[in-house]
This record gives sequence, C-alpha cells and structure tokens, in this order.
Amino acid sequence: MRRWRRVLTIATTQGHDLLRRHLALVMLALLPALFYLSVAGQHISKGQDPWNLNIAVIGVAWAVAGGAFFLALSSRRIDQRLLLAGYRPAELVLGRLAFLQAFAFIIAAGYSALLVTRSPAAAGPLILAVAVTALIGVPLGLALAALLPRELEGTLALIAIIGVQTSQPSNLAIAPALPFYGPIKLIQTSWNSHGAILPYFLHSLLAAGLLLALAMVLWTRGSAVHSPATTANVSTPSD
Amino acid sequence: MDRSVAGQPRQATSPALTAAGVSKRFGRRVVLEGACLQARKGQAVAIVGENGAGKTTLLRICAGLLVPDTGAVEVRGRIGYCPQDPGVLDLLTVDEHLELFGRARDLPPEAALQAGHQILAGLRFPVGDKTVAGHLSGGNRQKLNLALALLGEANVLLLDEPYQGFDYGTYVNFWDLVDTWRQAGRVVVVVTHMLAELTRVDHVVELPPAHRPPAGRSERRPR
Repeated sequence: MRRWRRVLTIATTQGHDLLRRHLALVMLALLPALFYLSVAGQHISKGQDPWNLNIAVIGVAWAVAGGAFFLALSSRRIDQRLLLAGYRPAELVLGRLAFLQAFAFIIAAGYSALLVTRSPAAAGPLILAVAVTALIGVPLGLALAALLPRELEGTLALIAIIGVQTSQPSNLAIAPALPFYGPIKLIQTSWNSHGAILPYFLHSLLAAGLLLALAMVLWTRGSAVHSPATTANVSTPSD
Repeated sequence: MDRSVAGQPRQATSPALTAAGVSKRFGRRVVLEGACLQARKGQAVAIVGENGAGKTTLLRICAGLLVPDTGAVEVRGRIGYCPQDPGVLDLLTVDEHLELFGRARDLPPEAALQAGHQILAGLRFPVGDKTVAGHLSGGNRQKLNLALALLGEANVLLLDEPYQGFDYGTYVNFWDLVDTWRQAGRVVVVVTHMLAELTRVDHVVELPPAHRPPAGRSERRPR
C-alpha cells in the first residue's frame, strides 16, 4: 500500500508538471490532428497503402513519445535526490508511466473520434491502432530519456526511430522490428476492412512491454543510489 | 579538547559517518585522493578547499550518489542531502515539493506540510506562498532546497554550500541551526567556503587541490 501511495504521488507530481505547461498542452493535443489534416484530402483507393492514415497515426506517436521524453528528462534532474529520500527506481518509473499513459490515452481518444468521423476506414481497428500507438509511445519516450539523457541526442534518436517508421513500407523484412509496426498494420486492416487484427495487436503489446522493460532497467541503472537512505547501516565497499 | 555542544563530555560512540581513503577520478583527472572524513553523533564537520578540490564529489560519495574508485564509506542512519544546485522542480509549488519528499519518508501530506512549514519558518521562508519554485528568488529556492534535506528527521545531514543566496540574517541563523541539530544528535557535514565559521564545527576536512596529494587532511577543531 505504501508503495502504491508513492507511485500515486509521483504520478500526481508529473501531472502538476505537465498541466502547468499550458502551451505545451495545447501543442500536444493539436499535433496529431495537424498531421492528419495535412494529408486528409488525399484520395486513397481501397487496396492501396493508406499512407495518409499511417501519417495520422505517426502524429500520435510524435506527440506521445515526444511528450513523454521531454517530461521525463525534466523530472530526471531530481531523481537521485528522490531516491536518496526514499523512493525506489521502479516507483519513479511507474508513477510517471501511470500519468503519461493516462494522458496519452486521452489524446488518443480525442484523435480517434476525429478519425472515425472523417475517414471511411473501419472504426474498430482504427481506434485500436491509435490506442496502441499511445501505449507504445510513452515507454518509448521514457526509454529514450533514460538511454540518452541529453536533449539533442535523445531528440535526434526519436526523430530517427519515428522517421524510419514513416519512410519504410510495412512489408519490408525490417518493418516488424520497428516499434509502431503493429499500429501501421492495424491501420491497413482498418482501411481494407479485412485482415487479421490479433497478431498486430499482440505485436503492439510486445513492443510496449519490451520498451517498458528497457525503460525500467535503464532508469534503475542510470539513477542508482549506492547507499539507500532508508537503510539503517550502509556501507559502500571499496574496489 | 573535544567537547559536546552543551559542554558535556561526548560519549564514546561509533562514528555515524566514516569515509576512509576515498579516491575518485573522472577520466584522467584525479579529483580526490585518499580523502578521509569521520563524524560521530552530534558532531559537525566542515569540508573546505579550493574550487575543484573535490568537496562536492566527496559529499556525493558520502551520500551514495557516486561510487569511489577506492576507499570505503559507511553511514549509520538516514541521510538528508542538500545539493549545491537547488534540486527542485520549477513548476511545483513549495507545498507540492514538501508532499513529494515527505511521501518518500512515508509521511502523509498533512504531516509533511506541517513538518516542512516548521522547517521553512525556521529559515525565515514566507510559509504559505503558493508560488511555483521557478518563480522563487534564489535565496528562497535555496531555503526550500535545504528544507527538503531536513524533512523526515534525517540524522546524517550532508549539506553542500546550503546557504547560497541567503540574506545575512538567515545565514547567521543557519549556523545557529547547525548547533541545534548537533544538540539533537544529528551529524552535520557542510561544504563551505566561509572560513570565519569554522570555529562552529568539530572537525575541518581540508581538501588540497587535486594535483597536490595527499588529500583529505583532517584536523580537529577545539570549540
């Protein structure tokens, strides 16, 4: 129970931090729609690659992963102090994940409503594609913030990952190794109104799970405190 | 003669904080070499030295935030660490910081606020201010920074130039608070450049410049 209270406190703190960035909030909410509206007029026939819908989903990926990356970076500067005060690394990651994931699903819900009303694609797979994009984007941002904790390097890596995802046809051999492969395939299923949903949904869950595991490991190692303040007797051995 | 604050002979207790033979290098640059530090319950220690002598590094090693290349650190008790740069989040209010750090000590929000307000009042901070930390003055940010280290009854206080930006009255008050903490049995380690205040501590650890070994000469100060 104590652990979950701590997780809730971290989630609340992350919420305060984001909700006071009013301009960033507006931009995060509008970014996916901007992507979609920029290509919404393009006519794509059934059976063709619905690239405009792909780009629409990638807009969600940018907003969610980018938001998670920068918010995690801004919080990271006090992580060691929080750990020294008594938090555990997993509590910090789970707290941030809880808030950011909830926020990402809110963006996804609003954006799904826009897509469903404006696109002739099948609603079910379309909504699912947007939802799993949000699910993958948050741990991707957290993992990048832990792996590359400098803004320039992390941003360039984010551009590379999502950019490659956008430029690669989903039938290439390398495509399943990319994090948003599942959502892209779900979009195609949605557009063509036939095809399997479950394998791509499971692929998306796997991608999110792997990225979350990576984020947990990297945050735990990167923020290590070698003499936990909550321990009564602490010794740091020499080499 | 080594005396307690109240003038009573100090009991022979085992050290609450011991750092022995601590060395650290960053790349090719040796920052610390064989530094030593020891403090018993109710003692205050000052770490002094030129810029770049490794004072902050030694404190961070004592806190467990850095691993020494050689040497050993032993801490008995709960650490309260005040970093040199205020470790606060710009978009959180003072009370939100208190709740965040209080929860780390398993303090409910009300208890964290009550304890935090009491500490801040002792530092002449305008308690009740709803301003976010990013809009506080430098001195008040530093007071919040120090208060977060003190929250939760830590008994080994590691303070890295904690009075930066303090007005004169609060600065004087800070050293009175150090006496109070010592009387309460806490260990206080202060990185400082204020050599005039060294008479108020039990020990001074003077770190020579990194290129001039040996480091960490410890000197007992009569009080």
